[in-house]
Amino acid sequence: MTRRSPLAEQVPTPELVEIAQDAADPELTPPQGAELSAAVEALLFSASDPLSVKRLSVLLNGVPEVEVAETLVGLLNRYGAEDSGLTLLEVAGGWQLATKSETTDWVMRLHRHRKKAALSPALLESLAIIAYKQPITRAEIEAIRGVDCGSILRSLQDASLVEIVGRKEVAGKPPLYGTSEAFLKAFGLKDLDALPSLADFRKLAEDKG
Amino acid sequence: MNSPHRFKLDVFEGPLDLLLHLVKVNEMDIYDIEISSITAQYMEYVGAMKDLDLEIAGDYLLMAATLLNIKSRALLPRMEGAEEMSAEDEIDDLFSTKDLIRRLIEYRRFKELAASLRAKEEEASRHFVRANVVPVMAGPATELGQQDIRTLFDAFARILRRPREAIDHHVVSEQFSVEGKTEEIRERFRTTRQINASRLFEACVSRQEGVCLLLAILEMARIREITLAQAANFEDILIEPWDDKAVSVG
Repeated sequence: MTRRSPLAEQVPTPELVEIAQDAADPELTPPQGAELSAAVEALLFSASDPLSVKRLSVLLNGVPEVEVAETLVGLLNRYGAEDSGLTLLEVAGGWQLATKSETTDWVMRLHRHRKKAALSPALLESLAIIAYKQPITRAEIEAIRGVDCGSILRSLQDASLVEIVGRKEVAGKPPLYGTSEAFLKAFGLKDLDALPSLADFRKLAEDKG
Repeated sequence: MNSPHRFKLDVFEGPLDLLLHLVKVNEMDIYDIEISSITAQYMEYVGAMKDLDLEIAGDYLLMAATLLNIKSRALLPRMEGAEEMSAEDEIDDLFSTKDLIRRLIEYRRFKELAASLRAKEEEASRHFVRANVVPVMAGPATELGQQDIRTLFDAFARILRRPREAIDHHVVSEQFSVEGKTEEIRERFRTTRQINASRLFEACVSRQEGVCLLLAILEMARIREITLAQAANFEDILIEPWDDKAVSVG
């Protein structure tokens, strides 16, 4: 699968910048056992964005990543109990505390004013092309869809699902589009490899062609 | 061939989508498309668009031209013994059935992937996560000792004396949003049942914030989350949650 342009990789991700800023606090001893589990749970509860194992390890004054991962598994098991309404989701390279899908009907009642509009077929189609073929230019997207995609690209950028990740080294240096972290979050994807497989469709096409 | 699907014209995402639809309703094998039949039906759709006074996108006309080109070439007798690739053959390749099928298959693939993305999105939307966690202030960021008012004055004077940097281009980040303002109004309703609109607007620091606030109020009134009431012309507008009142005034 084509990944982001090399240009985009040179820029440190917001998370790496944050990790660099989470200097160890000498007054705190790294938590262990029950204390560690409680701290991880509290951190996840208080975070509005997914936290990676690495980030958790740094925040917890250097508790080894293996131990953080074990703690996460422990929490997952605990949330697995039927009387728990919470679960852990692996999203956008990190872990996030979330409500269980079994409780959706109830939680929705609290947030009924916040319903967001579903993406139109045109937006979704273009988003699929960008997700699977990134980095990609507008002209390349239009070649596949057979229609003008200017306003659609703007909408996707306004929704922060798509961003410009570089410029193609051809005449005019057209911008290259790729999906954002918000895209991974909106679709509950761990990373781009978690996208539904394109290979299956390719194989089908080859078998027949 | 009469098409019973005319009313669906506006639901197509483009010429390729329309072609895929035609292949499907005719139960054709996508790898073995009957160009002449498909072309005839395609032209019928484009004609229907004209009849309905719909604005026909250039993309549809381009595809129509491509289809007609392929169809007319199929009618011409084949050149025999021409092994070498001539310029004409290259154009041929561009407008060939093969190329059309390749594009159709690729388009169909992404249509299917879009559907599986939709499923992913629905799955993800069944989980709620925390958003906009309000930071808690643990205490003052720096210890404020006994400060003379003169210290403050000196500090202010220093700032005023500081030479201004030349600004070529000033980028202002968007600080306010309609959603943020909506949230703010909801937040206020937790402690009060009535808000004076003028108070909200007086608290706005910029025109942008005022516009966001106004839009938020209008939108909330539209979705019947709040009611707006005014005792008389030019009086202050009172904002109340919808549940409190069944009818809104003015």
